[in-house]
Amino acid sequence: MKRILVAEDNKLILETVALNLAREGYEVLKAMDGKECLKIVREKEIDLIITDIYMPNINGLEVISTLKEEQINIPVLVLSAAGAEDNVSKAFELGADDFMIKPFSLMELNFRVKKLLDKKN
Amino acid sequence: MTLRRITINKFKIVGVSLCILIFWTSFNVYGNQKYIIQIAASKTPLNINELAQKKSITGSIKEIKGNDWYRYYVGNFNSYNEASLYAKELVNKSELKNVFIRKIENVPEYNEKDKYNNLTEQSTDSITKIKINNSLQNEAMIGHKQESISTDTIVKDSTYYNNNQTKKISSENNSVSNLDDFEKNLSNYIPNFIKDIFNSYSKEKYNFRVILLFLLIVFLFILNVINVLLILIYSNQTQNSTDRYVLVHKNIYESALMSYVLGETNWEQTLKKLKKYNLPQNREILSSILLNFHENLRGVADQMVPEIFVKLGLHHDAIKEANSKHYYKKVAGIKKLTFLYPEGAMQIIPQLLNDPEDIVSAEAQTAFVRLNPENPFDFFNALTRPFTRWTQITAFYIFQLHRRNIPSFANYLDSQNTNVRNFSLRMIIFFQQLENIPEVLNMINCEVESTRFLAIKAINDLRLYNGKSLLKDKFQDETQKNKIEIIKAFSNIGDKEDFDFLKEIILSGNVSLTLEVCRSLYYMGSEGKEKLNQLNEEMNGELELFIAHISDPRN
Repeated sequence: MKRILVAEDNKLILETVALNLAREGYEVLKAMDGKECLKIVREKEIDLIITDIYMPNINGLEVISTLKEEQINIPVLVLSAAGAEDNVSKAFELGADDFMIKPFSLMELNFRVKKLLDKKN
Repeated sequence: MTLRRITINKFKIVGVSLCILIFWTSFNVYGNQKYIIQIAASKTPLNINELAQKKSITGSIKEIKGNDWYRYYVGNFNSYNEASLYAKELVNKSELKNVFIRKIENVPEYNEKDKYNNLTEQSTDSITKIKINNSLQNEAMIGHKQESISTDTIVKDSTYYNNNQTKKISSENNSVSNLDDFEKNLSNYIPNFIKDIFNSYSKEKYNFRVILLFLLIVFLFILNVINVLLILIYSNQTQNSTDRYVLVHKNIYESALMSYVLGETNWEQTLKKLKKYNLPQNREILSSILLNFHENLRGVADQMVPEIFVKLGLHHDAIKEANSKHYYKKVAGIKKLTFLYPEGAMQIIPQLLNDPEDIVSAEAQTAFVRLNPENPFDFFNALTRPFTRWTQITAFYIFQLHRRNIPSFANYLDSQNTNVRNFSLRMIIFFQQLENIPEVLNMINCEVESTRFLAIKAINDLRLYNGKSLLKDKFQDETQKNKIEIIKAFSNIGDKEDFDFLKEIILSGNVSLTLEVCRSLYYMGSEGKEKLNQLNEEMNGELELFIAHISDPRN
C-alpha cells in the first residue's frame, strides 16, 4: 500500500484530503506543520508528500528545500492559495513535482496523486 | 465575539470598582464639629491676659458670651480624644484644676494654628471677634459640669504667649501634631457614615486613629485587587470553556459534514450527528465550517456546500444578519450569502451598496463584482457612496483572479461619482481600451483635477496623438501637477511641431516646468536632444544644469 504524507495546517482540509485518499486505498499520514512533516519523512518511508505552502514553524517551501538538501527523493505535490502563484514557481525551482491551486477538486487531486505515484514507479 | 464581550465586561467591572473607590474617597465628609476646652466661666467679663498669667496658660484664650455667662476656652479639636489628651496635659502644666471639654457644632473654620493654641505664636494683644451661629453643646467634662449656651454669642480671642515656652512645647508635640494633621487630611476623603462608625469604634479602642484609617484603606485596596483577580480568573475560565465548547462541536460537525461531502453518509445520518445544531453558537460554527469548505474545495463540494447551507436553514440566519442594524453582522451576513447562498445575496446586496457604513458598502460592492460575472460593475450607475481605493483593488483582484469579461469602462465615464470615473480611467489605461478614445479625451474638460490628471495620463499611456492639441489648449489653465503631467505626455506623443510650445514653457521661468520640459525633449529622440542643446545655446547656457541633472544616470 502506498504511503502518502499530507501536511496542511487547516485541520478540515487535512482531514478531508486524508479521508479522500484513504478511500482511494492509500495509507495516509498527517502533519499539521512543516516541522512535523520533516520528522515523519525522516522516520518513515513515504511515497508522496502533499504539502501546503503556508504552514506554521516551517513552511512548505522550506520543507521542499530541506528534502533537497538531505537528498530525500520523494515526489511533492504543492497546494497553494489562489493569488500566491509566485510561490508555486519558487516551489518548482526548489524541486516540487506538481501543484494545485485552492480551491481544488478532490477528484483532480486523486488523478494527480495517481500520476505522480505511477511516475515514481 | 464572546471574548470581546468578556473583555469589555472585565473592564466595566474594574472601572466601576475604581469609580466607587474614587467616589468614596473623594466624598468630602469631614463634619464641622469641634471640641474646645473650657477653662473658666463668669457672670462678669474677665481680663484674658490676667487670666492667662494667673493660670500660667500660654497661647490663645477665647471668650464666648451667652446666657449671661462669659466662658473662656482654649483649643479647637476635631475629636474628643485629641481634646481629652490636651486637657490632661493642660491641667498638668498650668495652674488650672478643672477644665471642661465641650463639643461645638457648625462653628466657623478656625485657623489651624489655634488647634494647639499653646503651641502657636501669635501677635501680642490681638483680639478677634467671632460670631457663632449655632449652639454649643456639652458633650463631656473632665471636671463635673455641663451646660448649654445659646446662639448669637460673641467671642473674644486673645493671645497671650511666651515665645520660649511655646517653642519648647511645640517641638515636643510636633510629631503628634503632624500625625493628627495627616489624620484630618485623610479623613476629609471618607464618607460621613463610615466616619461615624469609625469614630464610635476607634474612640473606644485607639488613640491613633490614623493607623486604623490607614489599615482600612489598605484593606479596601487589597479587596479591590482580589476583586479584579477574581474577575480575571472567572472571565478566563469562561473563555476557556467557550473555546472548549467550540472545539468539541467543531470537530463533531467537521467530521459529520466531511463524511457527507465525500458521500460516506446520507443526509439523515449526517443530521443525527449534527447534535444541537439549532443553537445560535452552533449554527455559527456550522457556517464557518461550510465557508472553510467553500474556500478550499471545489468540484462536488461546490454544489454540496451551498445545499447543506440551505438544508440547515443557515441562509435565514445570514439574511437576518445582513439586515441587522450592526455593521459587523451585516458584513458577516453579506459574506455568508455571497459564498453560500448567492440567490439570496443578489436580493439583498443592491440595497447595501450605498450603506452609510463604509465597510458594509465596500463589502456589498465587492460581493456584487463577485456575483455578477457578466456585468461586474453594473452597480456603478446607482452608486452614491464612495468607491474606495481598497474596494477598487479588491474588485480588480477578483476581476483578474476569476478572469471575468472585461466591460467597456467608457460606459462609466459619465458617472457623477468621481471614484467611479477615476477607476474607469485607470481600467481603460490598464486594459488599453483604445476604442474609448473620444470619451477619454472628453474627460480633459472635467471639473475634478484628479479626473483630468488621469485623462492626461491616459493620453500619454495610450499614445493618443490626437489629444495633443487639446493638451496644449488646456495647459495654461491647468494646475501645476497636471501641467507637469502634460509635459511628461509630450515626451511620448510630442514631435518637432511641439518644440515652440515647449520653448514657451521654458521661457516662462518656472523651474519645475523647465526641468520637466528639458526631460521631455531629452527623451523625445535625437531631434529633441538637438533642440534642447540649441535652446541652451540661445539662453547662454542657462539650461546647462538642467541637462546635467537629466542626463545623470542616477536621475
